[in-house]
Amino acid sequence: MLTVDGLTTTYGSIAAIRDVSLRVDAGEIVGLIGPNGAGKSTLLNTTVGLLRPSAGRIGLEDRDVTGSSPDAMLRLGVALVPERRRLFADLTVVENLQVAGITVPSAERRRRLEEVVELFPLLGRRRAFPAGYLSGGEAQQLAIARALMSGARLLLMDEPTLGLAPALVDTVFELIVDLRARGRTLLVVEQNARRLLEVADRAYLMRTGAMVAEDSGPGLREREDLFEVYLGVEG
Amino acid sequence: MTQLVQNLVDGLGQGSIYALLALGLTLIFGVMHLVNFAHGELITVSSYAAYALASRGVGWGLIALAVIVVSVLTAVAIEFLAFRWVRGASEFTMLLTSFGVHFVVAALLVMYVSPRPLNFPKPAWIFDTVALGGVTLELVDLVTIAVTLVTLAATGRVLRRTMFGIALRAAAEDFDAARIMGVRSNLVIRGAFALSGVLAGVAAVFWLMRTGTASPTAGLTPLLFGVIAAIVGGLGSLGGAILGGMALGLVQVFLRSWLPSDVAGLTEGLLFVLIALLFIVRPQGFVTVRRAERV
Repeated sequence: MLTVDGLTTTYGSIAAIRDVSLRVDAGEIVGLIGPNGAGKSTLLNTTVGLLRPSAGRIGLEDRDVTGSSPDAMLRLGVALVPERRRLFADLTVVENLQVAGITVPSAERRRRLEEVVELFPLLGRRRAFPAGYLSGGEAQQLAIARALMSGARLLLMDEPTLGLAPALVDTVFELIVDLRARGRTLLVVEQNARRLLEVADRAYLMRTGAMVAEDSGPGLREREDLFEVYLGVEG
Repeated sequence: MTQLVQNLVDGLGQGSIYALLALGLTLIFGVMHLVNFAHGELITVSSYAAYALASRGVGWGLIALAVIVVSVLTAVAIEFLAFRWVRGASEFTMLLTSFGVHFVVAALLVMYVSPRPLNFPKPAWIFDTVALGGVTLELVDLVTIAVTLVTLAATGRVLRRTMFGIALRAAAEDFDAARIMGVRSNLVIRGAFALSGVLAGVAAVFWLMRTGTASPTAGLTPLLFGVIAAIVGGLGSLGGAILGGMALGLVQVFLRSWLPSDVAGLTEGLLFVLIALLFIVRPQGFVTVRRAERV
């Protein structure tokens, strides 16, 4: 579904990612793990068009989408759930969802809004709340709900459990698995690596801007050597 | 008491113009992080439209409409011809571009229209007064306030009830996040310029009614007060811009009224001293604005 070949993205003269390649097949959960500064977020941001790569190719199905704008990527079915959620704090829950559905016709947007509210009943009860007043768990639900509003087939999630209480972390992972069951494809960046690898079909390990390992989720989980060297014993 | 009410209405009339300009500046700042010093050109260019029509005997109803249309077209043209090319550049580059636009527009008007100010007839009712409960108020102030309130209400409705408005507010809060959601940068920025053009156009109507002058620098003074109002209100806050504009107009009028006539010329100087004091106490302006960093 998504293929990234030899991607390099630089900030000024510094390469944040170098010659990175990965593949995400339809219906998979693909994990992307690595220590802070490994370039995981840069890879996601480049993939959705927020950053321009200096080399490499991004392919979506048969199409070359390298350098496409974020709204073009969204129209092609690729949505990003950004790090720290980046909700519009002054906008209400409904307005956040409406913005996220801006690429779809208004009747369809209303239908999806009701669908999403059904999936996240808590958000339904907070419709008129400014997003800035939501709790961490509610905010994360809204962040994921926004990605669903676009009808995206491929969700790129950047640190979806960042700052959440352990009980809510479980909920988010359940939701990730549930989304796969509903036919979505997911590429997930997560610091909670062991937990992610439990649910990931395949996973990649990045370090200092380069891809250093690829395996099935459980397979990479067994690689204690990699955890110790690249992620620390906490994993 | 009579004097107080008169000053209040006068100040709100003056402040309405500043608020409309500050609101337009804030919309642009929200989506581009640009303090648009070319915003005054909307009034400058409109002033020549008003001159062209008023000197041909066209009524102020049509002139007002033409001024707003010209202001919108100028705003969209400035975005297309100047700011589109520096979008994504540093804020300093965009600021210099806005200064550049001002000097280019002024030079073009000097070269191809006239270097001298051109006067045109003000509306016949401009000096009319209305007696309300023993207080004599200037009609132009009441009309300015009423039209401003209607304009602000309509703007509020657009910002809250339309997808364009919601997207604009989202983009103003976190532009990159809005792009991630599928908001098209071109549309939202062009829309913000067009809306700021409407607001500046309404402000221009009342400014030009009062001055009756077209000149290459006609927009400079209102621009300056608009920028100050936006900053005093809390740069980036839509509500703050309105508050800042109204406060600026009120303080200006009350200072002018209270100062002895032999030092009345110090009004603007004292106004800036008060603004400096405000920033010592509250550097962020009236309203604190949360703002996301761009990727």
